[in-house]
Amino acid sequence: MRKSFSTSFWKRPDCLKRILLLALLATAVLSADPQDRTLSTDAPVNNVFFLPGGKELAASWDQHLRTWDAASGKLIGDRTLDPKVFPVDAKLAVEIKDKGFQLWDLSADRHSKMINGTFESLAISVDRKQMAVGSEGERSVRLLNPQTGEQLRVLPDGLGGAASLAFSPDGATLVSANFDNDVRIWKTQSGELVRKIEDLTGAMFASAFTPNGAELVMGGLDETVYILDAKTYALKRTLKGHGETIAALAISPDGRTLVTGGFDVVTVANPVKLVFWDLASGSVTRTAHSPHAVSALRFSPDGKWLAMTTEGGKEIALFSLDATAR
Amino acid sequence: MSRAKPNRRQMLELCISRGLLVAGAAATPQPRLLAFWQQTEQQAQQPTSPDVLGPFFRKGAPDNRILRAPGDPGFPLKVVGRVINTKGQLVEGAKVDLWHADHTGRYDTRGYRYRARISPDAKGGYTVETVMPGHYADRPAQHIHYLIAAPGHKTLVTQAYFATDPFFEGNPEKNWHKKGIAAHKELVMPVKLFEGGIGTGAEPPHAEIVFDIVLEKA
Repeated sequence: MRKSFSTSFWKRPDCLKRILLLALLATAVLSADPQDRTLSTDAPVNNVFFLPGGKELAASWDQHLRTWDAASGKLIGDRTLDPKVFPVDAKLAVEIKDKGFQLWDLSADRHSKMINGTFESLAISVDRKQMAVGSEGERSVRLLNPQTGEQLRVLPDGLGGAASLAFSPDGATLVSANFDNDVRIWKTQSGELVRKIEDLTGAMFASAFTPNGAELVMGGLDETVYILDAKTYALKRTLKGHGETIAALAISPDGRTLVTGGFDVVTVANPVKLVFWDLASGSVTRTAHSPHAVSALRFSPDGKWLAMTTEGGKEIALFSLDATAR
Repeated sequence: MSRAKPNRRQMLELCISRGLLVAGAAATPQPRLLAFWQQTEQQAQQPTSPDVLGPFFRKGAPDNRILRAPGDPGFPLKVVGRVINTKGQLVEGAKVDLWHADHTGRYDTRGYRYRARISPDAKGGYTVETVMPGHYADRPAQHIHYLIAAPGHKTLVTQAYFATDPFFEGNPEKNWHKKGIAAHKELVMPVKLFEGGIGTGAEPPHAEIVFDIVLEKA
C-alpha cells in the first residue's frame, strides 16, 4: 500500500508535486513558530503603538504615519506628516518649534497653544488628561493638559533628565526615574513628592505600573527588574536574569506577563535579548533575540500580541503571546 | 547720533575724571591702579559650562585615583585639575564623580571600572590616572563625564573632550559642535603628550589634559 502511494505520487504531473512540497514546507515553517511575524519598513522605525481596539497598529518614520491591520500585516493607512512632527501615539503628535513645541490632536487636526522649552522624555496618562514631559536642562518634569497645552504643574527633578516616566493607571501618581539614578514618585493633583528612592546604582530606563495599579515595575542599567508595592513603594522583589541592561519593558493587559527588552553594543555584546516573564512566579517563559537595542514594546489591548521596535531597526516585530504560552 | 561705546579702561578713566571713582592713596599712580583692577577682574573665573549627564552614570563609585589597571589596553591618560569657585578660591567639601568608556567605547555597567568619586586635595587639586576613552556609535567623540557637587555651590554636570580626537578633524575650533556632540567649545581640552621613560619602568608614555572645574555659588 505504502509502495503504491509512493509510486503513484511520483507519477503525478510536476506542478502537483510542487504544490504538495510547498504545502509541506509552509506547514513546517508555521508549526515552528506559528504566528510571530515581522513587518518590514523602508527606514529605521523606533516606536510603535496599537490603535484602540487593538486590530490595527501604527508607526511613523520618514515623515509618514503608517497603519497596518495587525492580523494580516496589510498596510491600511499612510499619512504624511510635516517635518518636525513626532507622533506620541495614533491620536497625538508633538510638533517641535524654534522656541518650544505644540501638541497636535491628529484626529481633530487641532494644535494646542505653544508650550515653551524643550523635553527629552514624555508619558501620557491612560485617560489622556495629563501628559508629563521631562527636561534635563530645566531639571524638571512638567505636567501638561494634552488637549490645550496648558501647564498643570512643574515638578523639580534630578540632574540628568528623565530616563523614564510612568503614570499609574488612575493618573493619580507619576513616577520619574532620573538618569542621576534617583526615582521620584509624585502625586499629580497636589504635586507632593511621595517618595524618593535614592539607593539605586543605575538609571531605570523603563518603568510601568501593573494594569491593576498594585505594583510598580522598573528596570534599567543594572540589569535587574525591581517590583515595588505601589502603595508603600517598598521593594517587594527583584527579578535577575535578563543579563543585560534593560532598555524597555511592557506588562500584558491581564498583568500576568512582563516583557523586558535589552540595550546593546555600548555595554554588552550583540545580540540583544527579549525576555518574557511570568510576573507572579518570576520565571522566564520565553526569550527571543533582537537585532538592536529595544526602543519600544507594546501589548495589544487583548494581550495576544506584543509589538517591538529597535534602535535603527527597519522592522516591527510582532510576537504572538499564544506562541509564548507554548 | 551715536557715540562709540567706551571700553572698560576708558570707562574707568572717565569715572575717575568725573570723581565717580576716587583713588584712595594719592601715591598710587592711576595707570598702575587701573592695571591692577583689570588684572583682578581677569582672574575671575567663568563657571565651567555644563553638558549632559548621559545614561551611564552609576552612584557609589569608589574613591580611587588610579583607574588604569596593570596591563589595561588603551593609551594611558592622566587627568589633572582643580575645583575652584568663580573667584578662583578653593571650594571646601567638593566631591567629583567622573566616569568614561573603556578604550573600545564600552561602559562598565556591572562594576566601577573607569569610574571614581574623589575629593580634591587640600589645594583643590585632583589627579586621575586612566586610559583614553574609546569611541562609540551614538556619541562618536571621546569624552569623560563629570558630576561635581560641593556645599553652597550649584551641582555641575559636564564633560571633557579631547582636541586630538579624530572626530574634530584636526580643527576643534571649527568642528567642536559637529553632530551636536560637545555642548560648549571650551570643554574640548588641549592634550599634552609625554614620552615618559619607555623601558625604564618610570612613568609610561601618556597623554594629559588639565580640566579645571569652576563652580558657581548656589
